Amino acid sequence: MKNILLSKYAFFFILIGLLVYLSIGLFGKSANAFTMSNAFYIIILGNLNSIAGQSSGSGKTLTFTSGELGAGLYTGTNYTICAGFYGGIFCNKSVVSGIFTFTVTPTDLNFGTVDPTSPVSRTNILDVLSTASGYSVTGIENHSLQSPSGSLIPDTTCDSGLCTPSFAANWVSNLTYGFGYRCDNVAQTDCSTFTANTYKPFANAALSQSPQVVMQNTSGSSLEKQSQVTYKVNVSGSQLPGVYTNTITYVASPNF
Amino acid sequence: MTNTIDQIQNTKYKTLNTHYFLFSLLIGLLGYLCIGLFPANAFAADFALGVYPPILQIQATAPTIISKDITVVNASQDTENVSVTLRPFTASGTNNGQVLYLPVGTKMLPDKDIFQKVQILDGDTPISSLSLAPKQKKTLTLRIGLPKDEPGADYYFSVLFVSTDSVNQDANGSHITAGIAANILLSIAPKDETTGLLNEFTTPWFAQTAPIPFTVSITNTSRHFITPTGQILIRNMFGQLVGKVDLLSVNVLGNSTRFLTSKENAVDNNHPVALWNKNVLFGPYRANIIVSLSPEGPLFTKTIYFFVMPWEYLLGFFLAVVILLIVIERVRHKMTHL
Repeated sequence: MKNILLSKYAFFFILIGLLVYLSIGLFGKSANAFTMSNAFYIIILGNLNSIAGQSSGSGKTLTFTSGELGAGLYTGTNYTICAGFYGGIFCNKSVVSGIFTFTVTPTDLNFGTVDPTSPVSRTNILDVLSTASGYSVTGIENHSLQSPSGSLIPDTTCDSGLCTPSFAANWVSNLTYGFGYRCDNVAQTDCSTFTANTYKPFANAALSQSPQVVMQNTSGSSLEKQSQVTYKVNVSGSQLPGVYTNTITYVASPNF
Repeated sequence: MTNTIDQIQNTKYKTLNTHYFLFSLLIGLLGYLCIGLFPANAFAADFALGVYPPILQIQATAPTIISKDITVVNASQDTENVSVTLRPFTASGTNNGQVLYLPVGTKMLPDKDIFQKVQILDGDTPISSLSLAPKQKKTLTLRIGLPKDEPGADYYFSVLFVSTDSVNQDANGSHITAGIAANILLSIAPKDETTGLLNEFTTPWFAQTAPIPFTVSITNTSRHFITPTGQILIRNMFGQLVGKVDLLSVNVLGNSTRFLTSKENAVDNNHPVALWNKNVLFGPYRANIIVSLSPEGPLFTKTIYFFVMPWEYLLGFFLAVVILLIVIERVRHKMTHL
């Protein structure tokens, strides 16, 4: 009798455990192992000077501010360097110095099986921290989605046939084929202008096109800028079967 | 009798047990299925690089050997293999300080081989690639050796750290590579004379409230980069000085134009502007800009005028006019009937 009761409770606990597991699985917050600026700060500040000030020696002057690795005015034989400060050669402490980080998550986008006229979309996050200056993130693909045999999924021209790497247009029709992207603001407003349902193709290195700006800001900020990029692919019934892949390169550059 | 009851209860519990077991199994399977079908997003920071300092402005006179640390941080959980390359840039057409990379292989003038004099060192070893362990901070050295006969000129380039990790793509998809840059402005003496012009100094002639946006752009016609300084002085209709806007001293590359801004770093009509913030503004104002392209000049000044009338005042004025017209009309009407 005792054994039966024990096993009954055991099953009850298992049930509760499973329910908790299920709840966490279904309603749990995304476990974003996103390495944000905090991680950068922790790594950078690990062995920094914890004070600010100025030290002078024979022929050299060093000005530094806590938390700004390597920032300041350096003087050597026949040269001076203003490092990390925006505001010119004066390099004074009234002008903030810069921290610049770039995070992309994830870096692999698997479209799975793409059925004709059934668009597939995938997303990732671009995250920039540029404390002192503006910045820009440019994007370019090495080529259109391409199979090993050389077949291509062309870059989208959108429903109107008018979108280009520098101009977004509506793409809602399932009968419009190709590969394109859009950018949506997650934190701050640094995405290039995409209105609802608009997409554009990536600049294509194989066509000698120049990288296009995906995110940008003209000023620095202590706030992280996050954008979600949505990648969309749609193929026609006549698309040759195969594995279609390409590489997209994002480069984050601080303003000068 | 007791045994029979126990047997019946045992049978009952066994049946219940089987039910509980089946139910638990079902719930477990459902849970597993749901988690499998609708997983919570578990992002991994696949690329996370930081670079310090992001800009180096170097003033040099040949001969010299310039040496400066650049630190790269991999904040991700993964090892990051990056290529280390130098890429020349110029100012983009947006005139806001954005870089525009020149095509790979572009030779900079006058010294086409300037990149052969620039090295990124890991310790004492020149490198063109780098492997960063998770959470690793690596300090590299930028070394520029300029010989005695190096001609005076400016060179603008970035040190690019671009991921070289590739994956075997066995499914439809895109692989993302990413990179981060640190900008170098290298100015080698002797320099030509600083020349340029105050390209634009404007503001809307009419505003309802503060802040007042001033569009200021400077064109640098000299071959070296400059860091202009300046301010805008604002006077009211009585000639009293009522405001001052300090312009941020930003870098304007040789033979390029750039908008100047104030500490607010505001943007208006898609370009940076300098802002004048004041609580109450009313009437005509005169704004005078003074800009110096370098400590040695040249100096530029320009004066513009604008008018501020808050909408509340406009509304009051409009209502007063309407009331006045009504009164006049009624008086005229009465006069006609007298």
